[in-house]
Amino acid sequence: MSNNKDITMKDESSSIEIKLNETENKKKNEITVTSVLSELKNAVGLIEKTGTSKEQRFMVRALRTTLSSLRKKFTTLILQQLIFTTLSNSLLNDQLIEYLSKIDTVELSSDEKKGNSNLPEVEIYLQLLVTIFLIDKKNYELATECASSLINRIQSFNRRTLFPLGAKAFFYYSRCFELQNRLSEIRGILLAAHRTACLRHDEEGQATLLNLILRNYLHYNMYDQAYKFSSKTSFPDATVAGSQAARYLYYQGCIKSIQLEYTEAYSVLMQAIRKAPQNSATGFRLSVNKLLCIVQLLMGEIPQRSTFRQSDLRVALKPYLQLTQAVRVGDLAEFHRVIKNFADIFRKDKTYTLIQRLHHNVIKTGLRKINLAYSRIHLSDICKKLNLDNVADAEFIVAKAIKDGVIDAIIDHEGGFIQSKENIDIYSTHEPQEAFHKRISFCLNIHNEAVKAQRFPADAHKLSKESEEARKERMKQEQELAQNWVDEDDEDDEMFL
Amino acid sequence: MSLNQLDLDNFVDAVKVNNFGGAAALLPKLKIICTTFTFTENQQGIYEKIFHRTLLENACLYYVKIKDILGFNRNFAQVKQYYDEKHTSILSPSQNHLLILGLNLLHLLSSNQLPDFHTELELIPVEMHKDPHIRHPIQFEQYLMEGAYNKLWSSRADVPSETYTVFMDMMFTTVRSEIAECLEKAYKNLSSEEALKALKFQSLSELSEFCNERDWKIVNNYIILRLEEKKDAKSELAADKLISQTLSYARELERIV
Repeated sequence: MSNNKDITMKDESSSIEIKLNETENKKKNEITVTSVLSELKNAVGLIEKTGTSKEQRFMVRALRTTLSSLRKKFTTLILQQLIFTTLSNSLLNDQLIEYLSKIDTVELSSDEKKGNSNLPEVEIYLQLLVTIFLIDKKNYELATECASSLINRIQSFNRRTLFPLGAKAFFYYSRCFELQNRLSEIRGILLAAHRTACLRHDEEGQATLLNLILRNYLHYNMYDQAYKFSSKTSFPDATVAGSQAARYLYYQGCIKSIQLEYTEAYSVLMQAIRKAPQNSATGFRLSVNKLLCIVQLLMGEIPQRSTFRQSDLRVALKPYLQLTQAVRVGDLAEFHRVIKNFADIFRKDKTYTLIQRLHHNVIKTGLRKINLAYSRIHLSDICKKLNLDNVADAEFIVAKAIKDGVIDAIIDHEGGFIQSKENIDIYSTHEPQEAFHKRISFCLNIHNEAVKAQRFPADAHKLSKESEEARKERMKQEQELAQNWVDEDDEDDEMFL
Repeated sequence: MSLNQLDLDNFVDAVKVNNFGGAAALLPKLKIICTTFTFTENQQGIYEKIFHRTLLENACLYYVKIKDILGFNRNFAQVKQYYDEKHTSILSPSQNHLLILGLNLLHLLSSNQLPDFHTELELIPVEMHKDPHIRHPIQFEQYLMEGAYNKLWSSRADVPSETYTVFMDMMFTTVRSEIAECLEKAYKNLSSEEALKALKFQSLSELSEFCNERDWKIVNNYIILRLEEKKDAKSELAADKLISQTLSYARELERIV
């Protein structure tokens, strides 16, 4: 009886709490709605300024704030009000509202004044927002329709100010198709758009489209074509955002690792990790780290344990940690067990074929350990330790390992054993010099790239006296540039999951 | 239409029974017939596409059997387009599909084009890897990488089709030189019987010829593999490399303003 009373008491108090929460939430919602709406109106204002002043930095700033922080807070209500109050083109207005109404019921409040902007930039910006919203709500067919019409509109214009918007629009366009598994349809469109971007010197668009095309090819495992495409095009290094550069480096790493060029793949992937933001973009860093781990194993090096311990990546990298442990010990049985257990995960990550190649790496590592531990050992013992089939196999494998320079020994066939050569003092060989050379050239490279990446502030050549306002504006911009790396990107996160 | 079909069937039979003269006569005629096809997207196109595909597949097999590798490459490049997703969904699967793919993989292996081997392998979906036609080249590549050469010899015995043996024979000359290099580094000397077994020669005369090519001396049934110990690494300076490295450091440092 007392139990029931307790339960009913709890119910009542919880229902009261719920009601309180509801009213609080409503108030919060209203506040957020108005704040988000005002921020979006700010963004629209910035874009209008871009349209009139033809300077791209306002638009870049507007895009950055909207896409990173405000995206999660979109609702149909906000978007519908925004569209209604900003656009004057009623045809586009109706079309967009129609898309929105399929998600949620839309009420038209009649007390807002009708919008009066008819710049194409603003229209395209709003259509882009609607597309992103539809993708976030997982309504992919509508999003595809919206994105396709958006792309058509953009391609009918030839304005420089549309370049950043165009790049983002293509990104989401490709994303819609990818989420529906229809990527092969848009390959032609992406290639044509890439040509146009190159002709118009639209570097942001060129970089984005290059990455999208590579992603398209890699999605279908067409490594040959991806390789040929990337060898014929050049990536516009200089003025492009770090996110696109990081993606490009990662795709290069994928291609090179399949083509057995492990050292190059390793250096490219390390650069990709460095260009990626430190604290966000978990999905991207995860993919790069996975591939990096496998490439290191294929090169014969063991990745450091600290890479597996990074707090946000730890759980996902667990199968790779077990794989590394199996390879490090040289235990073939354990290696096969790990592969069988996690085969699905590896297949999803597209690292399965690379992992198959690790088979002989396991044997070589095992051999190396044995060679270090024993000065002389019978071939039959090696057979047992490495789980090989018979002595003849073992003999050939050891012979090949000696030829490849993995171990330093001589086989005595009559006695049936391996004798290791004595170890020479490593400092008297060229090894230290080689290691130094690698580090020195790396530092010099970084120095050169840093020098190349320097920028003059945009108005330095004008030598004009800045008014107080303009100066404040400039300081704010520089602050935001510094914030750039931290804010980017939830997009990256979504893309590389 | 039916006349063409008859020609095609004759060609297929000729290739199957290794009647190379007859096949060679029919091949140009059939190719000319294919050029008169107009490929459209409608239902009519399917018969033509299957015709073309069968012709190309059998042409590939024909070229392999007469050991014309360039011809094989040409025809394979053409038939590859029929194996991509767009076509496998509309055309019925061909019997020789996996055989041709496996042949191509083996060809790439035997000419030591390992990057291309792997990129081609990526295009083949994982379910098909279990098929013996594909599994054979994959295992072959694994054995080659590991160095288990006697497994290589035994895999020659269980080829899925006799067309594979052409490429296998080409491979074995490369494999033999690899084995010889391994033997040089790993053994000080080796008895002749062991060398015979390792290099899979049939007789001592072949073995002695091989040894002469590589400057191995035969003494009392023993083959001396290494002539003399190499000079110590300590006394050698890789002078060129050191000079170029140091010069590059100097150049970069000068550039720092």
